[in-house]
Amino acid sequence: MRSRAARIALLSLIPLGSLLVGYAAQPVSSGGTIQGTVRLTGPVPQLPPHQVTDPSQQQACTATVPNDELVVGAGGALANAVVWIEGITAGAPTQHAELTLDQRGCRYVPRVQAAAVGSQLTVISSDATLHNVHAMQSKRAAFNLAMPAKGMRVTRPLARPGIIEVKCDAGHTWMHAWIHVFDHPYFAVTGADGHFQLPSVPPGHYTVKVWHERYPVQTQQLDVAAGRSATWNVSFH
Amino acid sequence: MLVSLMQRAGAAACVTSFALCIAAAASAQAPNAEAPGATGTDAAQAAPARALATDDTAQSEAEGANTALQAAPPASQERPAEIAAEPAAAPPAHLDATKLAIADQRGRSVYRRRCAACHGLLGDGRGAAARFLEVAPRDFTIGVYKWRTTGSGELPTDADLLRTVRRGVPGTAMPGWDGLMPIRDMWAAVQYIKTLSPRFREEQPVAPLDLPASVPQLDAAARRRGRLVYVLLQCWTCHGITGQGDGPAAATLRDDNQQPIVAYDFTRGQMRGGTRPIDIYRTFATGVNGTPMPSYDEALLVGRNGYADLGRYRAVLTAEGLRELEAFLRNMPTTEALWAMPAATRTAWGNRMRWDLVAYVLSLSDTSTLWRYLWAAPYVTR
Repeated sequence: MRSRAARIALLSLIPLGSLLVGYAAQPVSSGGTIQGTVRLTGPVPQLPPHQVTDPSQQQACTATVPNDELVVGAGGALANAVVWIEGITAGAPTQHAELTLDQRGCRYVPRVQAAAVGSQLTVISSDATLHNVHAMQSKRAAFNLAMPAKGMRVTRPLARPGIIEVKCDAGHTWMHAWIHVFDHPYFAVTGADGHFQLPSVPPGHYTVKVWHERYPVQTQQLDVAAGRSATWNVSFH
Repeated sequence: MLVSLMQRAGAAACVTSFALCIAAAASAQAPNAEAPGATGTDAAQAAPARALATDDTAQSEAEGANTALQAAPPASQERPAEIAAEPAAAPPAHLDATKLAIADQRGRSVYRRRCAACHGLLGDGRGAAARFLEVAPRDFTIGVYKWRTTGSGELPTDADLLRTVRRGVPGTAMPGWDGLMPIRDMWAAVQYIKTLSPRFREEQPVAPLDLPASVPQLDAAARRRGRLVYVLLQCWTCHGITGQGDGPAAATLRDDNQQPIVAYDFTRGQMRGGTRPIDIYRTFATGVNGTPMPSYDEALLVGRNGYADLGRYRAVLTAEGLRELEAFLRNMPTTEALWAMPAATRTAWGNRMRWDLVAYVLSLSDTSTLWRYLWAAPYVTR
């Protein structure tokens, strides 16, 4: 097998370089907060489940796989939306995370997550069927790995900022997951309550963006004052 | 014997160093002096290349040597003078000053003469002849390459690009340039091709996968085991249970540009990544970038407990086939036992499974060469 240490050492140079150029970590003593709630207004579309027609897939995937493209809670609260400050150049240090992406019942769990550059992504298969983790970033594959066995896991570094779309080509055309990779710590993924909070933001004027896989990205200009909270309630429809 | 050794060394030298290439070629010139249609320096470089192309073992070993050289930078006495003169602190790069100079001085003119008609002046795969080609020429601007020794998603090494230029891509319009132009020209074109995508400037080279240097015996026993590996790893999901590219997921496959793409039909017997056992092994380990074909690298290091649930196999296998698979699984170690093995033993175990699969896949195309040339694919050049 390849020399993993050498590979990781080489890859680690990339995020380090981008951190030095794109984002500077500095102590934030009197930061403000950006918060709000993401909602879906109007009627909630009922998305039909995916029918599994290949008989060899029906045990691992079951005959119908629920469509989890839209997860809407009470009052239209929209989960799996990603909120971030666009182009921020200085602020709190980034935290490296250990993300997990599980393939379970021919769905990705979780479907949407976010992390800072330099984090690790571990992909697990909990299904007794062939999956391939085909991770597209910047219109090309960052990696495409076969996972034919249940319990198998592979780990790859999240080396570059950007949106990674993960798909499976092994007959599971409905499988999609998104991993947003940032070179700064100011991002959040909404949960079932649709709420987001970006703490320790240095006072200033910012462009904030919200992404959801089904809708166009929304943008808002916000002023953050020291120790205060700036609110943006987002509605998709 | 001595000559053959010199030629092997020469090919390795050509890939790492142009200066050494000339020296090696010059030393190999005498026994190949009768090489037809070649004069002057071209003869010096083409002769060993032609000799090598007919000797699979030597070529594969030369590739092994190249891989080793890529993984660990050559000792300073093996480096050409230009590189040795540079500051030693510079990290290895896809494109250093020397390579850029080669690309600029010779690579561009070779590219414009030999490559641009199909691949386009800008390298975007939209040359004047591209519209007549059934298989679109590679777009060099995106920097995605199918045939590599590096991991999934990674850039190829120089040796990888040179191998594809030398042997061509069977079943497409891309010819093997071996013997049609000197190696120094192919090497220069490779350097120029790398300047056409920003990836080679932005990314650092990664170490290639540790591919085996020699091919074990691919006998009937290996083919039998390989058939079960094919079933177990579910290659048939796309390639079909008979290997004809008609698996249950085949109709849904799309490449990275969202264009429909077919799963490879192994019974056709001409593989774009090459048909030697090591070529198939390599493709299997690295995956094919830009397509749904994933890398089966870590996937081989799973023991029998990963396949405890046979539900998926029940849907496609006969009762006898299922019994065979169960017997095969009983002889497999558990994942825990596999990972308790010394690393070398574990790697050898995974490699053995891959070679078995190669043996099986090769047996699927066991039609006569004449039949293949006359009927199946008359346009295949080699």
